[in-house]
Amino acid sequence: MSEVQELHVIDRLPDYVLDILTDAEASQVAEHLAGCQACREEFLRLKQVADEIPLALVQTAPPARVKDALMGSIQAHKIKPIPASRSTSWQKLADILRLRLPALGVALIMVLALGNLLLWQQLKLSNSQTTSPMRVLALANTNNAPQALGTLVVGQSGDYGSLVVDHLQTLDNAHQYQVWLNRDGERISAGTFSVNHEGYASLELKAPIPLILYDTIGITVEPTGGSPGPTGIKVLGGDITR
Amino acid sequence: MDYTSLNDETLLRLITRADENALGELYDRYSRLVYSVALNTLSDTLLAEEATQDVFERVWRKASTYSAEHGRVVTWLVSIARHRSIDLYRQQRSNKENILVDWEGAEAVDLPDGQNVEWEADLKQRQQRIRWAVGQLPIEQKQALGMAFFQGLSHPEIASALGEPLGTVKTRIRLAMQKLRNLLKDEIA
Repeated sequence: MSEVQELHVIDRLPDYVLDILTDAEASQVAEHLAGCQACREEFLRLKQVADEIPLALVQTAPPARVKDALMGSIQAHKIKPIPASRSTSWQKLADILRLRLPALGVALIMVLALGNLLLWQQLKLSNSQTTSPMRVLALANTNNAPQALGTLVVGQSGDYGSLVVDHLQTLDNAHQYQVWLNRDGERISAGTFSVNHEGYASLELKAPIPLILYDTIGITVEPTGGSPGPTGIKVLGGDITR
Repeated sequence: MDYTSLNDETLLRLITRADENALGELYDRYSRLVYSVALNTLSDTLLAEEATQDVFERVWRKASTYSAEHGRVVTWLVSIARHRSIDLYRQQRSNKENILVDWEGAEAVDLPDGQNVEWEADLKQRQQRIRWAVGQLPIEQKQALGMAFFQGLSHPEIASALGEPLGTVKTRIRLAMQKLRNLLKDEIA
C-alpha cells in the first residue's frame, strides 16, 4: 500500500459503499470524505457501480399470482397512495410562522414541542392505552455547530415528520445542509435545505419507509443539491428510537 | 393511455393519483428485477414472492416520497427490495445456510434491438454493461461481493461462511469493486 493510499481512505471506500464497515470505521471514512475531494470523487464513482450491481443478476419472473395478490390487496383493502402534497397541521403551522415571524415561530414550536413531550411522558407514566401523540425529539448539536438547535416532530402515524432548525450557520451558495436517516447501517438522504439569515429553516422529511422505523437522524454540510452519502461535517444528530 | 411509453417518473406521479394501471406497468417492468434481488437474498421462493409484493405495495403507498435525489426510480426500487429482503433474511437466518448469489449466465448479453421504448433500451444497455463487467471478475470475488451486497453480511460473517481468512475476504471485495469501477469507467461520471 502506498503512502498516499494510507493517508486517504480509498481502499476502504468499496466497503463503505457496500455498507459493511463497522459504525466506527464508517465514521472515520465519512470524516475523511468531508475534507478530501479526491476520495469524494472516488466514492461517487463506486456508488454508481454499486447501484448497477443488481442489474447483473440472472432475472427470474415471479409467478403470476404475485401480481394478482398485489392488485387484489390494493383493491380489497382499499389501500390508497399518500398524496404528494400532503401537509401536516404542524407543517402548515411551521410554514406560516416561518414566513411571518421566524424567531417567534421557532420559539413557539419549541414551547409546543416541549408541552407535547411532557404530555407524551405523562401518558407513558400513566400507562395510558390511548393513542400516542406526535413524537418530539430534540437533536443534539456537535462541536462543529455548538449553537445549533434542532427539533424533529414525527406525526402520530410515524410515517411523516418535520424538522425545525435554528442558529445554524448560513452557508455559501455552493453548500446546503443534508438530512440523513439511518436504519440497520443503511443511510438514505431525507432532503436538503438552506437556512435563512438567522440560521432558521423547516423541512418536511421524505423517506421511502415510515420515519419511525429509522434508528438515527443526522445533518451534515454537503455540496448544493446534496451528496449520495455524507461527506461534510456533522452539525446535528439524534436517536429516533428513543 | 399507452403506459408502456411512459417513463418511470411519470408512472410514479400517476401512482400518487391512485392509478392502478401505472402500478401494473411499473410492476411489469421491474418485478423480475425485484424478485431476483429477493430470491438471491432469501433463496426461498415463497419469501421472495412475499418480499416482491411488499415492495410494490410500499411503492403504491409511498410513491410521493420518491425524490430524484434518491437516484433513478429503478435504483430506488432495488434499494427498497434489497433492504426489505435483507430484513427478512436476518429474521430467517437461524434456519438458513448462507447463499451463493446466482451470477451464472451473467456474461450472457441481450443486445438492445433498437426498437424498444427509451426506458427499456436504456435498461438493457446498462444490464449489458454490468453483466459484462461482473463476468470479468474471478469467481471468488463474485462470491464475496454477492454475499456482501445481497445478504448484507459483514467481513467476518463472509469469512466464516467461506472458510477463508478475513484479510482474503476483505481483499476480494475491494478488488471486485475496484475492478468493476475500472471496467465501467466510461459509463460512470
